[in-house]
Amino acid sequence: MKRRRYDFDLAQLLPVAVATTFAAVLTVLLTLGIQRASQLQSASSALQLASELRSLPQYFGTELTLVQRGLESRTFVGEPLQEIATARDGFDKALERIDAELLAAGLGSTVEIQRIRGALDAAWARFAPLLSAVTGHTGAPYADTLSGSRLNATGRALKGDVDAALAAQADSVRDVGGALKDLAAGLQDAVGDRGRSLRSFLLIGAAVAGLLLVLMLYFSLRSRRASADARRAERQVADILGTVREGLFLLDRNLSLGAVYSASLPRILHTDAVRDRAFEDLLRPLVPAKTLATAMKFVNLLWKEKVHEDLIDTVNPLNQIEVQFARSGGGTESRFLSFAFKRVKGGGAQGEHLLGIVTDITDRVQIARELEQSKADNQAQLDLVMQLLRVPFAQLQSFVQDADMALRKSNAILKQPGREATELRAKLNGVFREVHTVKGEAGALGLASIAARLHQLEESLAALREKSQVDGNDFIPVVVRLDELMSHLAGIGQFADRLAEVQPKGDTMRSIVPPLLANQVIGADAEPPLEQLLAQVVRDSAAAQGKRAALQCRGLQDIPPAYRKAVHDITIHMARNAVVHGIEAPEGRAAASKHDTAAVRVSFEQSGSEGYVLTVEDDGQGLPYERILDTALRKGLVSPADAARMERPAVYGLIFRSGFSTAEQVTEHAGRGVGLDAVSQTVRELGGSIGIATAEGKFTRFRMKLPRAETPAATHAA
Amino acid sequence: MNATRAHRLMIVDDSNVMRRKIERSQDIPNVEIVGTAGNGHEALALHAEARPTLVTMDLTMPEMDGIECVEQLVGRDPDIRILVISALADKATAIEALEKGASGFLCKPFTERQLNDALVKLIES
Amino acid sequence: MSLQREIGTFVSAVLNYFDTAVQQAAVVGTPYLALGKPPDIFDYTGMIRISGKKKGVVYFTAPKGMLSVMLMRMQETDMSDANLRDLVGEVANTLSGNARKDFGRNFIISTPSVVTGTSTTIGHSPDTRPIVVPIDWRTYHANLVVCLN
Repeated sequence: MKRRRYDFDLAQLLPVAVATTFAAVLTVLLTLGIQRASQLQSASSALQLASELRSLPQYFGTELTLVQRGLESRTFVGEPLQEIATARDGFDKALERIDAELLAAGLGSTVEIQRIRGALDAAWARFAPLLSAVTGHTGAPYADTLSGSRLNATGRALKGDVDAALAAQADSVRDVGGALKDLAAGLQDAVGDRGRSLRSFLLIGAAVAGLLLVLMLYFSLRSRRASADARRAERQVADILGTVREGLFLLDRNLSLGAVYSASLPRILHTDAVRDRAFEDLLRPLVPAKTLATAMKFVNLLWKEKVHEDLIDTVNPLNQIEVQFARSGGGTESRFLSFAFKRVKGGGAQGEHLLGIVTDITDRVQIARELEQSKADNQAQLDLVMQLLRVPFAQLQSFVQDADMALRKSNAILKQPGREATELRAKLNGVFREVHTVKGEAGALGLASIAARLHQLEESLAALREKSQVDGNDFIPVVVRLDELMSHLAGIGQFADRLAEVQPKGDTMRSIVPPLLANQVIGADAEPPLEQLLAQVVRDSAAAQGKRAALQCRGLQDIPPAYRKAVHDITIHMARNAVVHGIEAPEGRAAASKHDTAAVRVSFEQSGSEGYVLTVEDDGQGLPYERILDTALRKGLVSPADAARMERPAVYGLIFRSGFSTAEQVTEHAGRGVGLDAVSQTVRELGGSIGIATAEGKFTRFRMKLPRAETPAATHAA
Repeated sequence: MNATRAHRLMIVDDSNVMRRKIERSQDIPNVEIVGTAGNGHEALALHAEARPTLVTMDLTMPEMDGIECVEQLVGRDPDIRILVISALADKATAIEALEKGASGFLCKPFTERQLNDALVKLIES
Repeated sequence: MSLQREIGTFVSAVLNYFDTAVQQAAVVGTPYLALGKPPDIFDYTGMIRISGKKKGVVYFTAPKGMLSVMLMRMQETDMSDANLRDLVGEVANTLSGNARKDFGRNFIISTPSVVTGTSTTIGHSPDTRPIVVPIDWRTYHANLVVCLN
């Protein structure tokens, strides 16, 4: 990774470095070239001057000769003298210029040139004073006499100087001319050198420039290709960001979003304000403050070099968050989002980023939840099947029939036309009794699922009984629950029918799975083992109440078939009532110096020739006389005037009245008084009677006298 | 870290079963188990003596909990690599351990494979 | 208990119709399940069919006498068959409207239709028990029947 990144940088820098170097080289070359060119120019000027000067010694000779002849012929010599003076000055000036040019041409310090230049100066120094002497005379050279003109003193002196100068002129021509010739030759060489060197510089410069051109051409082609690649990559990135379903975004060091994010991000986050936003601000409306704080800590962890990003996946608090978005049509919509983060190590100036990925996982979560639900449903189904398998088949079938009958009867009660308040109350009580009876049986058989449903229905009914005013509308929950119960029961019925197909003949008392009941007696006796049912009722009720109770039974195997169903129903109710209402909790019993396990006794005996006695008793707290009276008064079951006149037995009798309940808490196990209401009705329908014996703090005993069963088929009204 | 040099692993967990499970599970060739500790104090004592370079760290322990232990171990040796191994009840606690200098987190229960993968990544980090 | 809520909505719709359009309150009897045989059908029946999350039928069925008196209360003198059909259809319409309002998009509700005659059979789905809500008004009895699964 590192190496690649480095290559990329070098490739970017190389053309710049090369161009810079080349430019520097060219600048040096051109500077040198310009210098050489100006030196060349100076050298050329010097050469030209030197060449011009070469003719001067000759010229001096000519002018000096003209002066000499003029003097001889006594003609005017001022003009040639003036020429000589001008030429001599010109020669001096030309020498100065040559020196200047030599200096400019960089030849001022050249030994050979210096030598030649020295020789020239020396030669000229020998000759120049002679010329100065010639031109130094003033005044006319002639004295005019009658016999003609003749030289005066000035003329004579002039003539002497001219002759001297002419005498030296040949040497001067030789010396000065020679020096100038040498100088010109030297300069010629220098010019040649300078020209060659200039040409080389220019050639090198041209070569360098050419090379630069080639390189630049190469780089520009390469970069054009690279930028085409970059453009294509950019387009592809844009395509990806435009189409990807996940919300992708980059976070910088400040945890702010940049301009690069996928088109789906605003859609997933339900906001258009995404660009350049701080991630924290974006998240704030979505999650609780605590989650937000944890999330920001988590994201910051990703900057820590030491932390391995793969090893902190599981602590990501944004792994699955439920968020609420306002729906366009009003209301809110719940969605599930999942955020993930990855480090992105960008090169150079771009620095490091975090790549954020947000996905809407609502569908996934919902599917998972549905799966969970269906698992739970399956489990419930399985539990139900297990419950059913534990019930002996014959009992199950008979329960399904009884329950179905009771529910149909409830429905028939509802269907009766009564609309008046008293009629509605009667309906409530009627349905209540039916439901309560079935509930007891379901509980006794361990059919928890159906017992729970019956309990719910009972709850609805109980709630209605508490209401001061009831109308038909209030029965809607009742009928809906009844409907649901019937469906559930139908399911159990179907199951029982299936079971019938696989049930071995003559073995209908055996459950397929051993029941939870201990000591279950599986005998040839076709009757349900009532003792076992009662034992379970007592045990379950006691456990639910936090009480301890032991059941003792006597004579239950001798119940005539005609009474079996009635005694079954009655004893289940009353045994449960005994545990719930009769006996005390262990603390209470300890305070009363009683054994902490209470005794519940159920017996069925023949009583002479006229009938039977069914007894249900407990060694609990006895019937609370005061509370019964208070409750009856409060519920309007008796008037205060009646209450004042009532005897104790009559007060105890109130507990059999419909709607009486002294239980503080309503539980699935007992406690609405409806049990006793139903018991009383059943006993009366059988032509029997109930007696109560109780002592406060000691015991409660119910004695039910039943007449001799005449017809085996006699049944009580369900 | 130098791949050829052996990494010295210390296991910190208050559960005996868990310590043995980690011991048995880890099978990375160049990792050597230099000791196990049942709480933070033991871990610090063992660190002084055995100089581990890698640590697996439980969070909820008696005496001194994992977070404080992580802080102290990192204080002694900034290069130490710590993998927090805990049943994840609260992500904030795990994040705190990472803020204090742990390098990674592995959720209990884990498979042998998950443990070894995590240790390899821990060495890389 | 969404069925409970749904039945409640339909019952309120019918009661509200009596309160406002007929200006004389009706009374709801205790609802019950139609077991074994289909619910009683009276002379005129206005119904809506529901599909979507739940499927089934909801109808208001009333005897001719009741509808005639209702029309009278509404100052209508023409007791023609067409007007009686119109009235019972109108009740079904309020059922539909309330259902749309309360249940939202999960329910697809058909436009109300009207059938006449007591021997009409209404296609209930076999595995649901119709819930019958008796509606009493003056001396007359009508039924609101909800049959949804």
